[in-house]
Amino acid sequence: MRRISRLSKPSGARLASTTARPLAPLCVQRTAKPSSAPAAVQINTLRFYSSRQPDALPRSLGGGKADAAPAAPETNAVEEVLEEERVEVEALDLEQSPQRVFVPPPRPSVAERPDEITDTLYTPATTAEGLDSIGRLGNWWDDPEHWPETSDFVGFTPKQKVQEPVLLEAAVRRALTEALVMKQLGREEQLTERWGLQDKEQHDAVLALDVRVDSEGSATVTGDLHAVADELLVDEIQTNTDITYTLPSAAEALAWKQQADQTWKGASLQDARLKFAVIKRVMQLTGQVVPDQKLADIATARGLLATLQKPPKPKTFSQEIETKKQDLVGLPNVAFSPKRVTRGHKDQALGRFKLIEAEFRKRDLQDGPLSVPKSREQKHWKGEA
Amino acid sequence: MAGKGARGLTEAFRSLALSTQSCGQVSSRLPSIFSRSMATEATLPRATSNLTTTSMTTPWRPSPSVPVTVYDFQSYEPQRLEEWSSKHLHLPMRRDILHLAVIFEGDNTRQGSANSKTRYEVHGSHKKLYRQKGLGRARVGDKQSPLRRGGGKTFGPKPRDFGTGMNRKVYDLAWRTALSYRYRRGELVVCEDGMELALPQEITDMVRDEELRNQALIDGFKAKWARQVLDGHGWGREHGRSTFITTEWRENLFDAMDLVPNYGMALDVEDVDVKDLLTTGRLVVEREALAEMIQRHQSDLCSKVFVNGVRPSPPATGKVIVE
Repeated sequence: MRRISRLSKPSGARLASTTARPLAPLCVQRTAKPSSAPAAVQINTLRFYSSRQPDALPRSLGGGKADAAPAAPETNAVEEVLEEERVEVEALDLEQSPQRVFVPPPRPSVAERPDEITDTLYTPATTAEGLDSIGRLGNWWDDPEHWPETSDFVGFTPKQKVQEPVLLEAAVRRALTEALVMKQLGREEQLTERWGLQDKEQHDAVLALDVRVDSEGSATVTGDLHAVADELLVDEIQTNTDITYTLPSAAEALAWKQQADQTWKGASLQDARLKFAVIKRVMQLTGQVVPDQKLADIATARGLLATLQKPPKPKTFSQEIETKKQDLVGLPNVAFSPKRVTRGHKDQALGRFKLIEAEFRKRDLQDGPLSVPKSREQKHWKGEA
Repeated sequence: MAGKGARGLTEAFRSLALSTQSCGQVSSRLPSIFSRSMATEATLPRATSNLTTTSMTTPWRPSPSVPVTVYDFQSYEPQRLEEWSSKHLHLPMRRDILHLAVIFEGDNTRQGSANSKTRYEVHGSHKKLYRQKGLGRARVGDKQSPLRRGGGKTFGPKPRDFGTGMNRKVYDLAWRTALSYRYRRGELVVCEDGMELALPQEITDMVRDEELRNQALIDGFKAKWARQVLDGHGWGREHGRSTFITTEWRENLFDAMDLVPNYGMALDVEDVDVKDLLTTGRLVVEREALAEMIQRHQSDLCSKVFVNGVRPSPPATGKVIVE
């Protein structure tokens, strides 16, 4: 049955049902073996392929086009057989192809040597017209069809680090509440486990719990503790890293902060196990890692917040001035430039630079922008050049 | 005479007091008139004079241990908290010692195999090229003369050992100073033992079943996966590169890091030296590898001398606090 189909669609055309499936090429290869042309079917037109066709090719190798080669005349009987086979292959594909996310390239097939071809009607092609360029394997995995974005690496932390101070505060409060709940329920062993990421409703429910802190810093949570704890210890860890599902927006967090009682920040984190659990949860929610050398200094939730909310250090001195020392930039007798002001800059400011370039161009001395490398500028300043 | 005698007696007492007691004892016992120094008296700065008596009597002592979080390698999930000795991971920065160690390593890494031929080693006849006089030309000797093209090299390089020495205890201190420097800056990530880049199960199966045989494809996958892992944790190219240190060669990790040199490097613990510890943006170390590095480089902490038949033990380290 399969032999006929190879003949009837000789250009390497694939069955339409298999093109869209992830690992279809391999599946088709496994079910359909290459074979030589049967004597019963005679084809009168010239063909630019050997009668012994390789496996059906995937779309990436140009196999998706059914009309790439001249269609062979087919009898009704052949069509019926084809239809039967299509149904059969589809059924096989459904059974055999596992749900794969990474798609490897199909197995390479080797063409028959020209001197070994027995088909007398075969004429070797002289041009490459009609052939598709399929590229190389070098960037195979860059194609989203072969490596979908959904199967990218997912770690413990979210992809995007949370930097907003308000969101960090909400995350710390949530982590503290959850850890206190586990501790109060006596589930000390599960304090250090990996907890699940829930949706926003659960987040709101946790933040709604009341955290009371006494003068010595020991905190107690009141509310439906068992519901929160059971939600945390879901068996199936959700790998959803989109932080918008677990944390509110900045506006919502701000609204929560304005109405929330701020005494929870005094909660003590002297208990090493509790501190570990809180920091681990904050890392999972926000991607913020607390360095080891700062752990000893964190005694309360407020201390943890101060460590997290510290803005990142500016990379350059000019960035620091631009962000933090705006009062200096605004002084009337101070001019601020992020880079060194050179001769060229002065000329540009005066409008002289364009004239110099034009004069050079007129004399055919300078082609392109008038700029010199840094080393030559330095020589010029030193009086060497 | 009497005055002279009295002065002599006072001097005798004073010398007795000073010679028999240490400075601290003297200053505490003598009345203030005797504790006056030779230097010009000046009032103490305000900050010092405001110190309370309690802070004077209880000096600040650094913590004997520092916390270390141990992470799961690929997911970066904190697994447990441990306590390591401050003498291992919290030493003060000593830039001079680090410099000495790096130079020492560089010297000892030099191959020193440069070799040039002297006039006595250059091949050929040592016959005088032409006669001394009568030709109107400059006088010459043989053709191996350093003055001539193809001749020998005067004072050229000869194979030699550039190696220098460094005291073992200082070198070990440099090792732990380098690790402490990383720790203080939050650039020491300790991971669980058996650190290996885990590829998705699907790809592992494909390679095992030989569905994926092309080495370029396998390498391409490993490289992309390693980039995603490192970028996900903020260890990649944009955040300074990372050095991975393991106890032994790990196939996927080492292959992948060779494929993405812009993202860092992976080293066996045998291949690590002080310069490697200081080169990239951070160290990602297997716990066992860190313990081994410290164990090998603590000769200044534990003496070789046996006291009462027992060798002094090194500081305790690696105690689990939270698990």
